[in-house]
Amino acid sequence: MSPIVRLARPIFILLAFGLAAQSPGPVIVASKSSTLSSLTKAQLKKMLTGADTKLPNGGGKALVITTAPGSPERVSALKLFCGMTEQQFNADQIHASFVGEERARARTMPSGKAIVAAVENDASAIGIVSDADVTDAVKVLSVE
Amino acid sequence: MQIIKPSLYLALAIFCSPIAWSQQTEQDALLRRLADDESRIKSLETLITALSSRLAASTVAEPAVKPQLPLVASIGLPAGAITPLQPPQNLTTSSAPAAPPAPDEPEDHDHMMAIPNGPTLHFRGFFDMDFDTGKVAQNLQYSPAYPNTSSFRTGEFDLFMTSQLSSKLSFLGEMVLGNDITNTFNVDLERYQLTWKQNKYFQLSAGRFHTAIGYYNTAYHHGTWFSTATGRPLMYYFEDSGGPLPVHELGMTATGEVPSGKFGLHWIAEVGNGRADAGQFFGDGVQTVVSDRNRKDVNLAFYTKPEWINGLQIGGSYLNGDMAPLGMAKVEQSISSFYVVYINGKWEFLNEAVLMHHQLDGGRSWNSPMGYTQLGYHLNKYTPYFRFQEVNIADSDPVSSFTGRYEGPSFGLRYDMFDYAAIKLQYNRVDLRNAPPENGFETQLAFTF
Repeated sequence: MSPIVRLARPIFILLAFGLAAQSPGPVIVASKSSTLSSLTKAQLKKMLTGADTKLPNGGGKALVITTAPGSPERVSALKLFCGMTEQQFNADQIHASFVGEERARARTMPSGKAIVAAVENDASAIGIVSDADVTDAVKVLSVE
Repeated sequence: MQIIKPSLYLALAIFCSPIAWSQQTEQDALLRRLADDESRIKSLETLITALSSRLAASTVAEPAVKPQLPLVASIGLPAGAITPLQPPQNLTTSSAPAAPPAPDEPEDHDHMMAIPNGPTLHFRGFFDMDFDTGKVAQNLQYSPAYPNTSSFRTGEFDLFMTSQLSSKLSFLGEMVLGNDITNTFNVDLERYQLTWKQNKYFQLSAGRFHTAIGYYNTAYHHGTWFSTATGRPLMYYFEDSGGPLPVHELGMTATGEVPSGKFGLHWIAEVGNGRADAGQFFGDGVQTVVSDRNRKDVNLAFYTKPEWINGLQIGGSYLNGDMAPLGMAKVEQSISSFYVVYINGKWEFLNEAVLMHHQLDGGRSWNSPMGYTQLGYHLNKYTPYFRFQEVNIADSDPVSSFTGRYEGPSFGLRYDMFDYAAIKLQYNRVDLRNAPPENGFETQLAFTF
């Protein structure tokens, strides 16, 4: 084994561990009674920003619940689905009001477990939580 | 001794029997109370579960309405159902799990004033303070007559209000206190729109609004905190700053989505008084009380926000109307615009082109092209940006007070030091048609409060 490969190997291993240690992406959960099985990123962006207040496919009014502003799963969701930081998200909300758009903002709860409990019995609710918070009481929606 | 012993037992039995009977009675009573208490606890648990579920359901259905006492009436239970029961303290249960707590109300970004059983007024302010050096350092006005001195400058004090009057009717108002070159504050009611929103495919507003020409005019107007740059491109300067386009209208505007799936098509249709010939009889050009003609401006616009490219918006508009300059034949005005905008969390890329066409009745015509491109990149709290713009309006144009050729670059840096405040530094250079180029440097502190 060449010295370069020997030197590079621990770096690659560290990098691999580093990537693996990164927080996983947000998980989208819904009630088991929900008819949804998946959502697109664009749909999630619309619901998170409040640009669309309805569930897809003719569903009723959506209730999107996230953890508190600044929490890792929320920050991750904003980045992944909206391409925004928390600050940009705030500015976007104010800007929407400024240009006359009526928006229903996402609700927050203090923890992912609370969100799962709230989503469990509410077919209109979409929860954004971390993988560790998911239980068998809710179903995980795939993101396309 | 043999006689005494049974007698003692008998006496003891006779003496103790009332006590035993009494103890038995107390035990029975305790058991009954316990059974009663257990029954009450169970009924309380059931009631709490029902209350929580209904409360959560009502919160979901009508997020804007907070539950108010008396709760009995609001959930439709008989009044006696709650009155005799005391609220349980630290109730633990294994048979009936308590309903999960309802989510928090959404965070409001506005100040609010509510009247009982009436609409809530949402209130927000915007302001900027500036230091300008050079002639083309002003984000609001540009004029060869503008003094070439360094100045601390007060920006626009913008008070923005919205109110939801019913589920479909809302009001938006925007009042701006701004300085002019005479160092005098003026109050402008810049926007007032009463809007009926039938659904996402149709909403109609009446009042004074921002004309849907291009992108920048409706996306960024007053409130410089929103815009990356210190101010608007020259082509979108306000009418009372001598800007060439009718950026405000008084009339009606309708908009909505087009059912187009992932194409995200939207439409806009507007009718309004149009602008008066600037600098003549009708004030600053925005005809908010009296129109100088019967024919109204008609503006049609569209845009698409395709779902497959997050942040992309492509649109265009066409406005047609007349202008009626004093002492002249009427001039037909048509304004065509086209834009491609891409804004995501990292990039901001704005590109707009407008062609303003004036046709003198029975005479010659003038074509005035104008446009800009702007590129910015967000590096955490820093956004370096670049803009190049051009406005080219013939000196002989009969109805535009903003004539000549102006082109040149702007370089800037925006620093969002807090969530609601930003500092911007911007250098501008403008090359003129028949005069030496001009430069300016602007420092701006823009914020919302």
